[in-house]
Amino acid sequence: MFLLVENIARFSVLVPVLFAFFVKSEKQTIQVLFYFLIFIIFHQIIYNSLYIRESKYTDIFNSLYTPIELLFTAFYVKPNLKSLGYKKFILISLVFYFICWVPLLFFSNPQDFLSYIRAFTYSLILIYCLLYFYEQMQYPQSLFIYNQRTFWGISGFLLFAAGTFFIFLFDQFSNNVKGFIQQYVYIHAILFTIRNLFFALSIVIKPEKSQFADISLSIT
Amino acid sequence: MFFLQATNPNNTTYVVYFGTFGMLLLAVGLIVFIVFHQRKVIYFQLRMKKMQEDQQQMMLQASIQSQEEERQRIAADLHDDAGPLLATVRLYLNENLIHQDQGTQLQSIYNAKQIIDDTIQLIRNMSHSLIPPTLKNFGLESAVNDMFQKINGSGSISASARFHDYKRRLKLEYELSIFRVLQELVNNTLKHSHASFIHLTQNKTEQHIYIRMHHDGEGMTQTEYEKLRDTPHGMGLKNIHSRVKILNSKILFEKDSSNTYYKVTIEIPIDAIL
Repeated sequence: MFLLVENIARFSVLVPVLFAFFVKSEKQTIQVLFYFLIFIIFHQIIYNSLYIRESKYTDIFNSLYTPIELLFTAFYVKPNLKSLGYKKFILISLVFYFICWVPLLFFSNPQDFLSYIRAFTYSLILIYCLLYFYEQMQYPQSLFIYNQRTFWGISGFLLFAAGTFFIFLFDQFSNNVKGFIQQYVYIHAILFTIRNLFFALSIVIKPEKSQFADISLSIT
Repeated sequence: MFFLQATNPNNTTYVVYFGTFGMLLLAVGLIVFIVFHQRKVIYFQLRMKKMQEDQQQMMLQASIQSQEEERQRIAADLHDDAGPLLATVRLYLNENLIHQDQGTQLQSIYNAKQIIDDTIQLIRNMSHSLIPPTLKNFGLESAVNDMFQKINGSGSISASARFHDYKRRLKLEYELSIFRVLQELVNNTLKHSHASFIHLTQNKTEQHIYIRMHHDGEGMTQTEYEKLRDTPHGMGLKNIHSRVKILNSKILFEKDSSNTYYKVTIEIPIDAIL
């Protein structure tokens, strides 16, 4: 069961990638998702090979995953924001993040580092997603939100970040706790699969212009 | 991080499960809330748009109907008044006239001339009712004074106007539309209000021109105006609304603070001045 869930999660990443091949859109949102998924696949392959060889670079290589994931999330969310202030916030937070990330990478225990940085990264991802949703409430589009590609993409990021936040936070303190690894893999695998399904939806969905596309919507 | 380190390892599993469940619940709740909120806003906007379209449709119908009524009135005037007059002239000026004696011929020609003069006067009156010559030649102030003079002539109501700042005339389309609005307002006042006087004033600020009409009869407030305007019977009010809207102006119906008078204020943008 344990392996089955893990393998389903691993292969679920291929679903949106295949859809992206068929859709062949030049939309930035789809392209960002596509490259992110390709990155995940390559990361999994390289990480597994390093892990099997018990390489000393395994942890360092693994620690590169979260910042790149944050970058992809930022590139995915930022073009869909209208407010210049929010866009600036994303850029400044990224700069701040990388300024903090580099020294931590070299001067701290890789296991501690991974746990802290992941929790911090996922907090930022949560904030980016919340900014998007907050803006959607302020300036509703003429299109129903669930007819938009970005909604499904960002919902995927949000659910994954929210769901995995606690397991990443407790990661460094719970290595010796009985059953934690199993719990970690189950939660991570299920949310990873859900996120990939949301990404697939986001790629497949065709935004349809509603009959009231010309209304300027604002409730503020 | 102290909290995390201090957590009893046996409780970690529960903390992680509850934490994850709570976070997921919040995230899903947020997404569901936003979906429903946005649907609600879009449906609200849709309803608003539908109402606006309905209102525009009603205004358009009112405008078409008023044009048709005007055409029917002109057609009736031409048919009932000018037609018989010209037919009578034709009778006077028939072929047998040359066989008649000179006295009868002169009498017939004189009669025909009289009828032609009447017809000219009739057509002039019709033309004046379309565009009052006083308005065209001398402007809104003179046209309003002219209209009030006629009303005063009836002796049943006193009408007066005072234009405080009207050195420069408005554009003709503004003057004509405002005059039509004022005619409709005065007409309504005469018909429904049982007022003993009507007083009209004109003022100007840097941004707007204000025309205010007071009367001491039964009037209506803005809410009543908007309500009546949107009924199928409020044809005159619809015309007022559409004319005011076309001029990019505003109209406000209100009761005076003393509860004695009703007043109607028309706010016209300053660029209406020639």
